[in-house]
Amino acid sequence: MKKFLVIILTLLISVGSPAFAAESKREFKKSRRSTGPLMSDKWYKLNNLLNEEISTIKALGKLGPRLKFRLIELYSEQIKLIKEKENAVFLGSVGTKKRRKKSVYFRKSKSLFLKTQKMGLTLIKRHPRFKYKGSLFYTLALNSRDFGGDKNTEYFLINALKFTPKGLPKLHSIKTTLAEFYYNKKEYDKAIRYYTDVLANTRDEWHSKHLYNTSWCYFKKKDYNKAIELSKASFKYGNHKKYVSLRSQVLDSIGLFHIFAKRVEEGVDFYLKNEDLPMRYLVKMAKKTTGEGSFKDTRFILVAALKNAKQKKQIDEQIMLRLNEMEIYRTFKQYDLFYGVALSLEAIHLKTPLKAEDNADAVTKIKSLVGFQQVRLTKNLKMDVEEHDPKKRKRVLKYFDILASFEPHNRDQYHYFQGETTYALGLYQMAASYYQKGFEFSRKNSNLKKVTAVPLKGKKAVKPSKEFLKIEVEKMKLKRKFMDSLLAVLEKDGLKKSEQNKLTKYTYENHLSYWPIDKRSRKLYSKLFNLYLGENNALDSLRVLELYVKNYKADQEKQRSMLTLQIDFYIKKKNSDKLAFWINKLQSGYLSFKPDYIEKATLVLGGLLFQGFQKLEDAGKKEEALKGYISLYENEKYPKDIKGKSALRTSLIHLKLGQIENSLEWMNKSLLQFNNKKAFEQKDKMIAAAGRFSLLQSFKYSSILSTTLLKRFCKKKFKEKEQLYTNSVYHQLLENNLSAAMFNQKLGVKCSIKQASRDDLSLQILNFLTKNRKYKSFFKYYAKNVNNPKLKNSFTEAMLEMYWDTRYHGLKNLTISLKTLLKKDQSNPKVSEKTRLKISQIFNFEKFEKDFKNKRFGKLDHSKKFDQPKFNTQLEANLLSLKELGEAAKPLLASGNPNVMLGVYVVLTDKTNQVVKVVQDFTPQGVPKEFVQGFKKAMQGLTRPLANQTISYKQAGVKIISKHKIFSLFNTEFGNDRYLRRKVGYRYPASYLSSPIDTSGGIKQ
Amino acid sequence: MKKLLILIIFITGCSQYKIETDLSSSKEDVLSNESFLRYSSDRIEKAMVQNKELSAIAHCHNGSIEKGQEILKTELDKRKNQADYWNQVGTCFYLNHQFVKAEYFYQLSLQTASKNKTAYAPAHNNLGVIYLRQRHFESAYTEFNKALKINKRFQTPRYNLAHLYLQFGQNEKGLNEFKYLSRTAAQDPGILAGIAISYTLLNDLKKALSYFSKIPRKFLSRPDVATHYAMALYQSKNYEQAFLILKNRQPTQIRSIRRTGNILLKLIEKELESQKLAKR
Repeated sequence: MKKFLVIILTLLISVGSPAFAAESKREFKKSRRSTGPLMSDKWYKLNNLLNEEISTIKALGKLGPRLKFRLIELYSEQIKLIKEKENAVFLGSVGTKKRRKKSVYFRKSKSLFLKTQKMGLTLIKRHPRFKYKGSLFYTLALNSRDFGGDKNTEYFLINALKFTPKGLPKLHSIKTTLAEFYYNKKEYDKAIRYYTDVLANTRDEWHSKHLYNTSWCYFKKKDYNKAIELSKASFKYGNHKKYVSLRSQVLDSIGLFHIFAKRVEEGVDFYLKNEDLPMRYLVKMAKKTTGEGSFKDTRFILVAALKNAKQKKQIDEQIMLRLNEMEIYRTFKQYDLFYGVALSLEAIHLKTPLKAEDNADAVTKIKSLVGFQQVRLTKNLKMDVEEHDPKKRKRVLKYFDILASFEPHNRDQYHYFQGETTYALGLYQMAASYYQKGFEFSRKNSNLKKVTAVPLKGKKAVKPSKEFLKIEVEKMKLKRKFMDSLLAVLEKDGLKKSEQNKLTKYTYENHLSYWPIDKRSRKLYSKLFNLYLGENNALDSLRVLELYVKNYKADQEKQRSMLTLQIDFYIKKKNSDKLAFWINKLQSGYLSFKPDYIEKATLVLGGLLFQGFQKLEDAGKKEEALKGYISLYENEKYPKDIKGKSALRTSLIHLKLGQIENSLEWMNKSLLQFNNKKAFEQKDKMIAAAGRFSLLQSFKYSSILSTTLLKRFCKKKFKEKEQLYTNSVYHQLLENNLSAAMFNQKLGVKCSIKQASRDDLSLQILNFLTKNRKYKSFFKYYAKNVNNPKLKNSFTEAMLEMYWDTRYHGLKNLTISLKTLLKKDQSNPKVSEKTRLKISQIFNFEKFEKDFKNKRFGKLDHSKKFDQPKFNTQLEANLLSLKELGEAAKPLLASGNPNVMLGVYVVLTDKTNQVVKVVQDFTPQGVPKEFVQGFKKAMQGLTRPLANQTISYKQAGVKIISKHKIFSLFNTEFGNDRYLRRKVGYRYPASYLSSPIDTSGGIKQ
Repeated sequence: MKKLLILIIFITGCSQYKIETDLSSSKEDVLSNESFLRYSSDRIEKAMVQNKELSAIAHCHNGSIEKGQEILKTELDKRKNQADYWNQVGTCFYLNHQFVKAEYFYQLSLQTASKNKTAYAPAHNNLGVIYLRQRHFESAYTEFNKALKINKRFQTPRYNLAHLYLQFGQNEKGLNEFKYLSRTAAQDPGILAGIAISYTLLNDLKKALSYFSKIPRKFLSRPDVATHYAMALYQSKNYEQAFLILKNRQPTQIRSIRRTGNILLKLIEKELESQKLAKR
């Protein structure tokens, strides 16, 4: 004992001294650097203390039972520390390759345990009356329980109880350990026996625990009411601060106790009263009652729980309840309740989203049920139960909607299930609708494109994660499934045609969009193309075709066929813009079309455009049409035929607008574009244009165009040819351009115009020149055509007419020229006899005039002495002259040529009057006045017949004028005013005073 | 200034090649219902308002031949089947002294009438006018008569015939036609002059002078009227007045009138000289 006290003192001093502290610290550090896992500071501190005390005790040499017991106690504590460290090493080895057998890890503690137990048993053997024998057994019991596998625990505890003096508090601990030992060994009767002693001590802070353990012992012994009682007592003590609280353990078990005690309502009530969040316990209860098969109790618990949660507005509680309800109702096959719960849960979720684990739980449970129900629903159909229950179908479909609410990202999947369900039921339209919805969702919610898209400038490309790609692959698989299903629907006959078409387009479009290069897509391109084109939707058909071309370059032949159909469509619809676009593209080598096809298409295009502009023209939009035609003409890509036609239309519009110069210009352009055949096909319009030029008062352009056309179609035979020829020549005459007319006239021979027509035209020219008094041109024409036998007589006739005109107008030089030419013709056998006679008459008349007109008639000698014989001779000579004149006039008067006859009468009248006047005026000189009177009277009588003669000449002239209705230069010679007219050189200007008539309709005043 | 002078000379020169027969009132115009020829510019302007369909020909008569022709071109499609249309096209050319083209369109007018199975007097009359110009007097005579045969009520062919008669000494016939016309428009200065000239040529100087005196003073200076009036005065031996009339006549480039006027003037001057000498 002394030694023990010394040790204690030594220890206390050493612990308190600085030297000890420094050494302790070094040791501590040393031990921390030792191998093995790093333990807490407390562990090291305790370990050092234990080691130092053990070392100190050992250093004392031979030890007594008290110090040995102390050493056993220290070793017992050390076992705990060692085991703690070994456990850490053991746990650290979990999952490593070097892990060994478990016992290997705990060898040290085991060894020390065995050593300690041996020491204890040796101590008891050597010192049977050792004062602390009971405590030693208790220490050995605890070591056996904690480190020795409980083999000797009961033995040590009973001995500890046996050798511990009565009244010591240690006894309570030993009984408690013994009660717990039996409790653990499920020896509930023994446990109750010791617990009964233990429970007597209410001062133990663990009293609540002992009550709890005892309640379980009674429960196990099926004394449920006792169990409830003790449990409630444990709950009550546990609520007190002096005692350890076992609240949760009691709550966990008390529900069970009530169920077994058939006091469910009381149990529910306990929870509702004592727990603010009782759901987990109530659910536990409900599950238990479910397990017991009591729907009534279960339903009671659940309804009460829901009511409570709702009252307290505990959402989490409600969620927990609902989730468990589903499981429970499923167990009880209460599907309506299940459905109600699912709807409620969805409503909650939509308001306040469920936690992930709850959500997953809900999904799993609903999925499980709907899968089951779906199978049942479709199974009936497969079993030839034709009619399915629509209510059930609707419910299944709704479950998928609910699931989609919980997993919105998987909505496509649920739509797919909905589609599959309705498809299985033969509701193809509905199935298609679900498939479409699902596909649309999937399409809109795919992030793959966003992730793989080219990054914005300045931003790095995002590399998608493997997980992300995996999900996307799954989504893509689902999309494919949608397509498969939609295609399957399309194969059924359950849809109306319009819906079928719509769905077909949708399906094919999306198929091509997602799998543009795909065995099935390859066939769909043409199908979709045909569908669109059949609906006159050229825009989409073309888009499909272009997609096909892009993805299948090897299918050119098929693509050509498709594009041909497309182009045919444009042609049919007269869509020139599109056609033009495609022709350009084909020309650039697109799809390797053959040149002859491109050429044909180009022709058609030109024709279409042309027709378009014609429509504009017909609608009166001439300016727009004009622009269009000109653009066609100027566009090099169009064939010459189109350009020619465009130029022709341009010309005709200009013509319509009265723009003749432009019209001719474009007509010439059109002729340049046309080949001979095409030009000839258009000749009617061109000839008409030439005619219209003249109607628009432009003979020059009419002639130019006529000439151009005649030259162009020179070798052709057509009915208007002669008219063209005539216009070519005659219209130049109207423009007073004889040279051009004569030049064009030459085309007659070259272009095989009939001789008769050419002669006729020549005659027309001649007549024109004559009629219009174009004498200069006449002589020019005469010079060129004098040897034309067909014209000869006409030339001469014309000159005869001109002869009288030039005489009337006093154009002496011209008259002389004409006479020279007529002189030649007088003996020309090519000139008709009749005409030659006329020439003779003119020359005879000329001679007559020459012989008599200037000859002085009525010469009488006015000598101072009247010589009668001489006078008589002279008078006789005058009368003879008149007679001679009359004789000379006779053949001319008999000629029947009114001009000549009138001219002759003029001479006859003049000369006779001259004689009459001279004779009447004569007064004999140197004779008596009476003689003169008698002489004058005699001369009056003598000349009266002559005077009468003049009157008859005049009457004859007037008669000729009247008979022949002639207006010749001699007309005025037969009136009373002839002397006045002659005197003043008078000619009345009738042509300057004449007036045209402007209208037959009258001019309003 | 120089340019203005040239323009004035040009205008004056042009006007001298035709006889200005413009009348300012329809009452004194025997042809007022048939032709704008003797319409004054004011009358044409007013008439155009009331005769919109005749605006083209009115323009031609009013000196705007190009404009008139352009209008006619624009009316082509609308009026090409009307003989009247082609007649008016011809008249515009006639007024522009393009007689060849005028004749072409008058012929076209007749063809159009023929196609329409109608007879069309104005084109015949107008062809007569052209033939007068071309000195085909018989043809002119024929055409005027054709016109009259188609429609006796037309005054113009009669008016033209009257002039033709006077040119060729058939003064009685001329007088008859003028008198006939005067029943419609007794105050028409042209008709008065025609009657006066007829009487002059028929040597009925009293009546001739009487009719000349009825002609408004402003028309007496017209070269043809003045010449004829002087001729009548000369015949009446009223040399002084004849001299005054001739001296006041408007200048003209129409050769026949100018020549006669000049000869007459010399004769009158000679007579006046003789009178002076006799007085001395």
